[in-house]
Amino acid sequence: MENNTRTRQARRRAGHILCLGLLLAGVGPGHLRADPPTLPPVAKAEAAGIVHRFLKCWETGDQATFAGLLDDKVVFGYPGGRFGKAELVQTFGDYQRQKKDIKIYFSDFFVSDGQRHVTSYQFAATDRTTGLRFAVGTGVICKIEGGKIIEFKEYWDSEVAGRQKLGELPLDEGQVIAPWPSSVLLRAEKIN
Amino acid sequence: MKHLSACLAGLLLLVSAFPVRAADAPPPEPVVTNDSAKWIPIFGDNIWAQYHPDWQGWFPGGHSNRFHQMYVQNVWDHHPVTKDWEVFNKHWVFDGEWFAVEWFYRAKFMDDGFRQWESTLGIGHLKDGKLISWTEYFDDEVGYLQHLRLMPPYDDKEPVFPWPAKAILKLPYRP
Repeated sequence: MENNTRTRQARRRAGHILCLGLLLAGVGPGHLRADPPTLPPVAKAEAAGIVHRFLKCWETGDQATFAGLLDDKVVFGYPGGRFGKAELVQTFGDYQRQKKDIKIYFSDFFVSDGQRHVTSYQFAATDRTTGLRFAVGTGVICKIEGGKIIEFKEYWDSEVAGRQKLGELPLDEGQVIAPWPSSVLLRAEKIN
Repeated sequence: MKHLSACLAGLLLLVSAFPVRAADAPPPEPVVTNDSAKWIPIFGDNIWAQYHPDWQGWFPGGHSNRFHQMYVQNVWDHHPVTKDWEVFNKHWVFDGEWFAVEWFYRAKFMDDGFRQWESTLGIGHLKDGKLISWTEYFDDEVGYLQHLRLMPPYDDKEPVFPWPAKAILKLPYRP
């Protein structure tokens, strides 16, 4: 049953992955342009500094800086739900008590058009109760206004951490930042 | 005479407009750009021919390269599970040789006709005018939970987010 589920998941995943051609194919030039600007532009270096400082707070436990970088009306989306500022700061505090040895590893790129800012990082932590560790690659796209984060969306595959804790996937911590542990090759037999 | 001069001038103009390439001359240089804002509109409909030889892809499920991807594609072609793929509501971020795009993905299962609706953040990198790196971040559990009727689809006019706004089920942050 479990194997069937995983096979099915892998098949769905393959459909998703193989649609790269579809992503770029058969669309007119109008669909291949950036959205018109709606926010005052933020310099790339400034945006990168804010995003990196914000994320590094998970590692340092600096709640004041973490909260200080968030706009009061921030929307924080992640695989599992959405937070406003109060919920996110509360989560941050609780998380520091539940986990230890939190490490944040940044990728070596930062993409920005002044309106939206994109990067990726790996979030690693150990559960204080079970001692089990995970390290999950995460994609980020966010908006910043007036030096504060107004929207922050994180994308990751929520299957990864659970399977790392079960020993089914390697951690590959601090290596190539990727959606799955970087040593795992996309396996064809999972698609059959 | 005046007429002949005009004819010669016209002939010269024609010759210069259609230069004859010597057999041993190098072929014309293809358009090469690493500016993603130009590259995507030029090559967007021919992405598979624009992979850099050292292309690497990083996905939920593992990483791939050009040769492995052909193998994966071949396996998929013989065992397709979904059809009617749709990629829509794309939002591009162009930044020189890097670009990112966020979008919705829908596909219909061939066995029961169920249509999953997920979101993705993709990040690409260009080198030598070709795509050398492509990474997709998405939560595959979204489609799975939708299939189990534990999560609704996105609303038609909803912005792209990791999970649908109307998802009743919530998960703690990185449990």
